[in-house]
Amino acid sequence: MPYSFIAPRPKTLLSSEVRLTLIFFSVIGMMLLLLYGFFLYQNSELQIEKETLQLQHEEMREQNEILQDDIDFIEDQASFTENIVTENIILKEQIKNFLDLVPDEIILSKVSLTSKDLLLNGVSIDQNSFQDKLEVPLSSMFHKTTVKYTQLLDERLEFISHSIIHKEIKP
Amino acid sequence: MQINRVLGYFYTKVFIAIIPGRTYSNIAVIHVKGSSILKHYTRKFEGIEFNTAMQLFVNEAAQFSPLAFTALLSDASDQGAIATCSKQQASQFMDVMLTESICLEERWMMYLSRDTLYQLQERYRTVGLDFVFSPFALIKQFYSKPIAEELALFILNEESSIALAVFDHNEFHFADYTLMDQRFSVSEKGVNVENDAPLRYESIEKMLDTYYNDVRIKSSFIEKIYLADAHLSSSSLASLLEEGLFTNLERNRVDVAFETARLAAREVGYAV
Repeated sequence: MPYSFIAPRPKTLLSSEVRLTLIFFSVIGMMLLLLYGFFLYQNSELQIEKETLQLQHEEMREQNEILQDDIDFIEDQASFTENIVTENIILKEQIKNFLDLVPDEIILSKVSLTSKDLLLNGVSIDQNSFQDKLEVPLSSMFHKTTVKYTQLLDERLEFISHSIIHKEIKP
Repeated sequence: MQINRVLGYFYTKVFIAIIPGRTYSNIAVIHVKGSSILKHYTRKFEGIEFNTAMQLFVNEAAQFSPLAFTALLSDASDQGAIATCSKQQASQFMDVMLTESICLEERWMMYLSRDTLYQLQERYRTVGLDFVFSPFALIKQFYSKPIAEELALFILNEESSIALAVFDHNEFHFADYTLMDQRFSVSEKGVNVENDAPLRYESIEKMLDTYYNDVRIKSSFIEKIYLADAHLSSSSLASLLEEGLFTNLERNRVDVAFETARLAAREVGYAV
């Protein structure tokens, strides 16, 4: 409750020099704070950018792994295909070599070759020709060869030869 | 100005109270921090004018803190208090145009002549005044509890003046203020100050006559007197009042300068 007939004079706690110094340092302080705020803002922006890039990097690494897997698969496939092609070439060469062994006296009507056996159908002028010129090399290449002959009307022999390769049991 | 408020918490506040008298003046200084008084001292100065010694003392005390406040207890004859806040009703007692007033509790007002207020401010221009208090404000502060609880006459008996007020359970009835003349007796031993208790008693009696007889004033019979005594030779005044007015009297010694400084501190918001 006011009891005084006059109001107190305003009090100055700071002299004009101190006030000026305080204002100066306040302004400097404010500027430093603003600068600090700006750096904080920039830092947060860069942090967000860094996180985005890390995410992208992670995605790319995952894609890279998938691609690497694909490349490995394709390389395996290519290697497998190359093996098959090589094996086919070898097989073709072997077949060619085998067919070269077939003498003129023997006419093959059917050749069936599998990984296990060889089935030959044909006609020979006589049994000796077959035995001497074809059965001997067949015996050298296969473990077992069985031949069945059938006499034809024109005195030639029709034969069915079945040669077997035993599977090698790997240790 | 917010910075001043914040900085203000760290400063000790200094409240200086000037109590002018007839032959001497008292100046009290209190140092306040928070709600406690850290230091308190009073000095008595001879002379009635505000002289260089007083000025130096006040300035020295004020230099302790930038938050130094100087208060003056008005000793003007043209001051008083009336039981209204209405300017129209107040005009029955004074010229409201020439008076500075403070309305209290929306029921009563203290007033002081505007010219006197300017003169006081001019007289203490060299130190500057922050507060000018009426003696009735001091009575209200000093006797706040009995004022709220009783019907009684409250007297502030100072060396230069007597201020009295009647309150009935916080309701203001009447107040009056009178300046006292100093009487000296000359003897072989030198000049002595006469015991002015009978004179003071007469003055109080005269003021009470006004209270009981003025038709403009609501009055009740007073059975209790509180005497705030700041005058050395007034023990006989207490006996005179008790015997003459047939009342119960409670006498309290009061350091008017210190109480005025406390009032100034409270005015700024410190509950000291």
